[in-house]
Amino acid sequence: MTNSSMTISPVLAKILRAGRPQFNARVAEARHRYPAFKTEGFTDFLIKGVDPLVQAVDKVASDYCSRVAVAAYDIALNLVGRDLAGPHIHNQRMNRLWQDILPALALRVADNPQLVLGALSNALINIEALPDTRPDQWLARMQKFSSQAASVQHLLNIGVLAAWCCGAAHFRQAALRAAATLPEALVQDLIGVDKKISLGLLLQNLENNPWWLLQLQTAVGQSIQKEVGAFSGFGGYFSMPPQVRVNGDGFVVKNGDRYNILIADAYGAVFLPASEVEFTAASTCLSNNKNSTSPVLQGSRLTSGNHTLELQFPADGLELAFNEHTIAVTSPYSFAITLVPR
Amino acid sequence: MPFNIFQRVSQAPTNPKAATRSRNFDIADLYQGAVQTELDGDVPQQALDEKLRQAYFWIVNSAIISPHYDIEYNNEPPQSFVVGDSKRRLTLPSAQSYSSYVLLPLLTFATRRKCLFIGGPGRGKTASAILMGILAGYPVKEVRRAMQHGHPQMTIADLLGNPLPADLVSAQSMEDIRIAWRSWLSMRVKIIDEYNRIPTRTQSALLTVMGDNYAEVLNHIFECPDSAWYLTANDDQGGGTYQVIEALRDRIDVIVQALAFNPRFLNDLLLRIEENVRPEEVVPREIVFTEAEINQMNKEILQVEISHAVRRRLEFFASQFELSETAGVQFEYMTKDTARLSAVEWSQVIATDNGRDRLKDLGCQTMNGLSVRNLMTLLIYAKALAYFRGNQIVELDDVRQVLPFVLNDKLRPDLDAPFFALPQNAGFRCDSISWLRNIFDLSNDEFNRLDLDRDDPVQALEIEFAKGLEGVSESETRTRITRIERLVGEWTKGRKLYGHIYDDLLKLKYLHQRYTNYLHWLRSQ
Repeated sequence: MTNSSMTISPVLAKILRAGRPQFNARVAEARHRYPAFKTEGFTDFLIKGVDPLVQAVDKVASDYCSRVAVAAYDIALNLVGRDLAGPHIHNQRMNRLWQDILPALALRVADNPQLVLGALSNALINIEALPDTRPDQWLARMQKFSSQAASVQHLLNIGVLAAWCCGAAHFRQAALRAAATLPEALVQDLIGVDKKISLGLLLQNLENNPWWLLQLQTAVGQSIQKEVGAFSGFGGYFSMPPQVRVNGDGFVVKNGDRYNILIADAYGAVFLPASEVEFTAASTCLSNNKNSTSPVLQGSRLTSGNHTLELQFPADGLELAFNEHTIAVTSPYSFAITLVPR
Repeated sequence: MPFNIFQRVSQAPTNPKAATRSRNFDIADLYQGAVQTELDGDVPQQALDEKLRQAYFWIVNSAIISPHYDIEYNNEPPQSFVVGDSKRRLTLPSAQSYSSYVLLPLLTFATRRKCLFIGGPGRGKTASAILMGILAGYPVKEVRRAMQHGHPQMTIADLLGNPLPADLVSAQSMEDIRIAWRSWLSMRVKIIDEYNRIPTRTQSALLTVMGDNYAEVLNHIFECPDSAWYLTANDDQGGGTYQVIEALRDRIDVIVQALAFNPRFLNDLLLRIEENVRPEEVVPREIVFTEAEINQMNKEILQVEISHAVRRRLEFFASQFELSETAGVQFEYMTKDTARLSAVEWSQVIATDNGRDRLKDLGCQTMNGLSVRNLMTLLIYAKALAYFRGNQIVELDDVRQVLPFVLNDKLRPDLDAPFFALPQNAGFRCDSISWLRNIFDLSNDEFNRLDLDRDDPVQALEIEFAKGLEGVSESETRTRITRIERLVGEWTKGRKLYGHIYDDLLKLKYLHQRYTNYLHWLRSQ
């Protein structure tokens, strides 16, 4: 720490100097705990990530500087030790979160530094871990909207709503609950809908139909279909053509001896781990859903209600699984699943 | 402190299984992860088997340096290598495998049985036992103070407690004498260090506590709670100051050996020295069990099922060892136990036994058979291991893995048997764990060869009998008796007698007797 004290701000330098033995002990512990821990990487993150935050807090709530610095220091050790932050990391999103977004949230960080810094760092890690989500978009939305948060809880609610909008489809229900607690204009802007649609109506429509937003943005008569999955050799999920069954609001997908839950909506699709038991149990759902309004396949033509869609697969071996809102089409000639809103 | 390198408990599932899980994604799910926050506190209470596995992994990763993964599981064929001139096999297991030195004491803790640590001095036997006491929620100091150290002058009073001196003088009757019981008697984890240094007379008092769970001094009784016992000995073969009485040895449920320290782990030892940390002093709270949790865990373990197929293989294995054709004249007395009770030299007994293939017959490898206590212990530990692995049904591999530790020192090898004279079997003379596992494997091979899974006439008769005798007619009873007699006739006609056939014949005799009695009763109506 001593060499870098020249480049950090006086306020952080003072805090580090005051607790020097404790801070050094924490670095020593981190070295034991994380074999790949690099002190220079940590120092760099301290200067570029922690220092701007401490300076920002100093401007708006100087009494809380030490508290914020201690929490940020510990979390920084954790992130650098796990190779999630620092100068050598290929993707610089964590650095961006700390450098560009957190200083703008200085008041919220001062309210509860451990929670805000930890939760937002975890959120970014979790969103990055889902292959089909858009973490850059999440960062952009957080940068644009998070400063409007009136409390830590508001901030977390904005984060989950943004995560859903960036493709984390499994957070749809949680995001809708969170949206109900936020200002109307903020939700409209974050979701990207016309201000004429009231918050109540917006949430009702989103709740009733996961494809509502996509259908709203699509020209009348134009068919909507979305391909998810794809061949693992090309960065997808499946090493062989998948089988799909219905599981509540989502689908259970079998691919060889691996099973996933597929949750999809207008914003994106996520695959989460599932079990064979769930796949086996889901088989009956398929037949229960069959009624007069069930989608019908005639060759490669899919008819659902008044809509007809020409599928891009050979008719041979096409299979359907469907729930109230979505039809999933699989073909023995494709590694992808085609999702069609009903 | 942001973290403590010695107090980390696995946050991820220790034995992840593709189980049905909740799909209600909460806002906290987005914000939980690598960095701990107050949102982590919302996680649901974990299952006790998961807690037990967390305790295991904490001990393996943070407390016991240099673990040996000798309890091997495979879910696909493992990589295996032949090593050295002795052509021994090194296997790299393909599934989660365990260290017996940690696992067996932990299963003992969960089932409240008795475990003996053996091994040379300074190998962590006592430290491991102390860890188990701390897992039960006792402070380190209390566990250390309550530990009984065996020594040649240890008296019954040292072990159990003293009558109060004032009462000894003034008491008019024995009832008036109060006893100051030793505090360890009331603990749920009991540790006896170097038990083979305890004088024989004091060992007898210890036997009462271990066997019957109470202590007696001057007609006063102290009832002990159910507890896990840990005993240590530098040498289990009578190398202590006193010979351990056989009854006491027999009360021990499992024996685990402290294996050698691998110097490749010296850095971990160095770290411990530099940080001045003793594992028993930094046991994380998350892996400490309350009394209610231990009770609940014990109940859950007993609920684990043992399938008929696994039980049959165990029955078949246990049948191999008791028969000694030359030890008795009446059929029921043709057992090794008869020979042992007669005090006739073992060599004389086996000298006359020349009818069987002494290499192939597993019974020829041992000097005794299995006791009821051995079998009960085996069943309980197999259940405990299945539970530990997160299963509700015992697999054959669970039995295979716990069996050597349960039967070690119980099923005694006859080292003069032809099996041990073969060069390839020489290693089994010293390595009783491998020998026991090997005879279980051989027993299973024989079970497969006889196709007993599919063709077991005694089992068919058993199932028929288990349906009950109510409403069974006289003619049907006669038919069944005739069927049993025919089967006995077939099996005894010019065939050698092996252990499993001997037990099957005794079972057939039992069934025959039950039907015969029933027939008499029917006639009297």
